[in-house]
Amino acid sequence: MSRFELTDKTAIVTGGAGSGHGIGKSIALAFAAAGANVAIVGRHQESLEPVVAEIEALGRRAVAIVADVTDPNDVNRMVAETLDALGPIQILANSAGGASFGKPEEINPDEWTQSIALNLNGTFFCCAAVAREMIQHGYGKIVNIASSSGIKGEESMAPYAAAKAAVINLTRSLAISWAEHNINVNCVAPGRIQVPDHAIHGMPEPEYAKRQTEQSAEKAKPLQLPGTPEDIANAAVYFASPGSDLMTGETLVVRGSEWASAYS
Amino acid sequence: MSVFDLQDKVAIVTGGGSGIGEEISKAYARAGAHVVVAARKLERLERVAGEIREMGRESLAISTDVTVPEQVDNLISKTVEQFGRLDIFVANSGGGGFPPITEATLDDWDSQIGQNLDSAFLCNVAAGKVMIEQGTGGKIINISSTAGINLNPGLSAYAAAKAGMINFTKSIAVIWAAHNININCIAPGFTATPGIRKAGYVPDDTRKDGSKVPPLLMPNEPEHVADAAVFLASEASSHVTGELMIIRGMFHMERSDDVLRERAQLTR
Repeated sequence: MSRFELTDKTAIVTGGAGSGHGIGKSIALAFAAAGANVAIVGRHQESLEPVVAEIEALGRRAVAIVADVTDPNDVNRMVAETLDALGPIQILANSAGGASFGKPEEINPDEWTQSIALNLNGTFFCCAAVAREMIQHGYGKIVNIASSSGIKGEESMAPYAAAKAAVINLTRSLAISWAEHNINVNCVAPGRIQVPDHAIHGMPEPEYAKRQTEQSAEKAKPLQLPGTPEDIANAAVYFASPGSDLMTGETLVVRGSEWASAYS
Repeated sequence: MSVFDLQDKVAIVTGGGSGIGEEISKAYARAGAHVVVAARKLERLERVAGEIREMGRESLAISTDVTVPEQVDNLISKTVEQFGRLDIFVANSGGGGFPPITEATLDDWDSQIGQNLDSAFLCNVAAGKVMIEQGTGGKIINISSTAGINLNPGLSAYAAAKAGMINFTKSIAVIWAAHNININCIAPGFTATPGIRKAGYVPDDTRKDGSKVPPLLMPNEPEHVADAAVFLASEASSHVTGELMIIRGMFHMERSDDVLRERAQLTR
């Protein structure tokens, strides 16, 4: 068996409806293609159901769980429902998250608090609740989806970037704490990802238009363009698989040659 | 076919005759690649090449000193002559050895930089030129070390060279993005190669109270480094370039008394 297979593993993917760039959905499908059964978590039943159908079409089992990751009670229920439907959990991918856009000096305190809650608190609540379960079995793979903005900062997304930086650091602390229990905790930090052909919730129209233009640059090679949700999903499969057994607390940045920009 | 497969790709692995390089070579063959192994000692290379052929993949053993430009060029041209192309290059040759710092000469320093950093420059550029000419992209993987991120008091020149390799990787990754060549680094931490194991540096995986040390608190096995090298050579990492993957578990965080004792012995 390949070192990159997830045959008969049970995975939870938050943000699995893929309502933003589609990363969560792509991860859920890639996990299923690698052999896993998947619990897909999101806030709206109707957006989860098509993903469940796609996974079942791949011959794997899937369950849709409506939960708000910023609510610890919802997160505990998410774990219980996954155990009921699919059995012991070996993999967690925290892909729920989202950015708000605006000048830092104009952000109101509620926006700040909401962004930290969604991108940082939600990730921590899910890690802790699932790890309590993984510790019982002495095995687990946790993949947190951060962002390159959590490394280099971002002009118009300060709360999001700060929360993602915290996720990268949280990943290290959890990795140190849970190595004794054979739980790997790693991060994938996407750079720019191609925007889908529908508007992204919360992204202002000028920003959306700018990104659409960016990704259609003529003569540019793939490494010079924004990545795809599949690029992130492939890295998530790597961190969920035995192929990364001795890697923990690390962050893999998936961003082509965006390196060329300052502060990277 | 999985995005992690290397079916019919042509790879060169330097330092492929032993340790981590041997494991990478075999992992590539298992993933479907044909593998050219290069190092100075032909005998070791022939053994690895033989094992790869037994797996049903083609292999070539080419004796090479990677600090000599002509020999690096020869390695590349022989590979292209035999297989018609080059898809993957792993710059894995290198090694540490340095006198106490106050006794070290410029020759000692140059030798370490030559072996660990000049070799990467020569190999990366020679491989990149062929990949650019082919026009179908490529994958270059530089094997650095956690010494290049932190430090190593006993091997300061080695650590400096490995740090240089990490930084060099980033610059050429940006330059060659226009040719779809991915260039990344792997920094293995303490790895239980057969040589290291034989020298008695690998602690027991059972604690003195009888409990097992969890794998994440043990040194890497060479296969763990090879897995990362397969990922970086495959389509699964096609948008990853200029990056560093650190493979080291949490061995450095293991605090049980037995390991502390063993480690004290190691640094004595």
